[in-house]
Amino acid sequence: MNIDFNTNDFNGNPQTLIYILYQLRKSGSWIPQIEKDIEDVICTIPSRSLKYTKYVVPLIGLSESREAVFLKNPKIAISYLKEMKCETFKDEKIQKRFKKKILKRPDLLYGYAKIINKRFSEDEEVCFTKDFVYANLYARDIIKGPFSEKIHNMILLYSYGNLKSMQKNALEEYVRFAKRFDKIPS
Amino acid sequence: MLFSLCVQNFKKKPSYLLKIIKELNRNNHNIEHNNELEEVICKTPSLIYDYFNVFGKISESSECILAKNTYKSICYLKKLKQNNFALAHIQEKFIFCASKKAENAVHYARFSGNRVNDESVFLKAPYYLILNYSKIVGKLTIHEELEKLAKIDKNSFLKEYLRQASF
Repeated sequence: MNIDFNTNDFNGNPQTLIYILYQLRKSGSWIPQIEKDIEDVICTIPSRSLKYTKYVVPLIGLSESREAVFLKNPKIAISYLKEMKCETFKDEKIQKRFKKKILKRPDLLYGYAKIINKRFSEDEEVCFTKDFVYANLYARDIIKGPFSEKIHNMILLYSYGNLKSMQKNALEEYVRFAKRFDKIPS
Repeated sequence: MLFSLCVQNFKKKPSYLLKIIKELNRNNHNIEHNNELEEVICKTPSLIYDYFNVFGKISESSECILAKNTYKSICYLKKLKQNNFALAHIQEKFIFCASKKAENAVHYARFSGNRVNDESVFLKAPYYLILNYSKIVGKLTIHEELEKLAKIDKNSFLKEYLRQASF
């Protein structure tokens, strides 16, 4: 006896399809692979695409073009890259668009830096002058030292302005941290 | 994309097949009970109970396996709104298996209000189970042994049992 079903039958119920494919993968009855038909049903929103990656196609992920779905939510995009244990998206164009989006957000830039464990260029690091909480974390965890002289001075300029207490504390914490190093690198 | 799952391929992993069918039915695939499916899936009392929950019926041979598990059997009978298994030999097996473990004997007594055949299982059972059981059926048939035990062991559950049994 065979049980037949078409993945298109799950258009209105993609979560169920994820669960079925997960069971099929776990039982060894189906070898995960990139299937555009399945992606059409499931991967229409970032959160569900992440769940699909995690449970159905771990370390394989979505097709090159379908990865664009994560551009709708860069935070989930970072979780996807983390799940895939890789640094970039398969398609260079998508990677560029993703980078462009996160360069506006210090929290996401820091999250991404944690995955790739690499410093960004000085121009890109300027983003951290928008949020000293993440600037402090980035300096400690990724640079493991102070920012370049140019960015460091930009940050110091802010200490004269009015800042919310959380930002002020983070800025002061960063300055104390930077003082531990003999000189600010140029 | 079309999937065609051969039921026989799930012989060694029936729980996956049942979970898949359950989800397919949730998506209106209407897969119904049949002998081949039951044969592949119904290997353990737990799977049999789950199978029953999905398809609403099980065969006599599955009921016979189910009777080994007191707790699942009680759940099954409750769903059927029955106090006993319809077939006498299955009912006997159900009571026999319930007498093998004190915890099951308490479950059985709580469900049916009756004693199990052999209460000696309570001799080595935790005292709170003896108390729970006696609250349902009254004085145990091994009462004398428990009295002797109470002289050596000053356990509060045991004391409470003797106090109750004296009424």
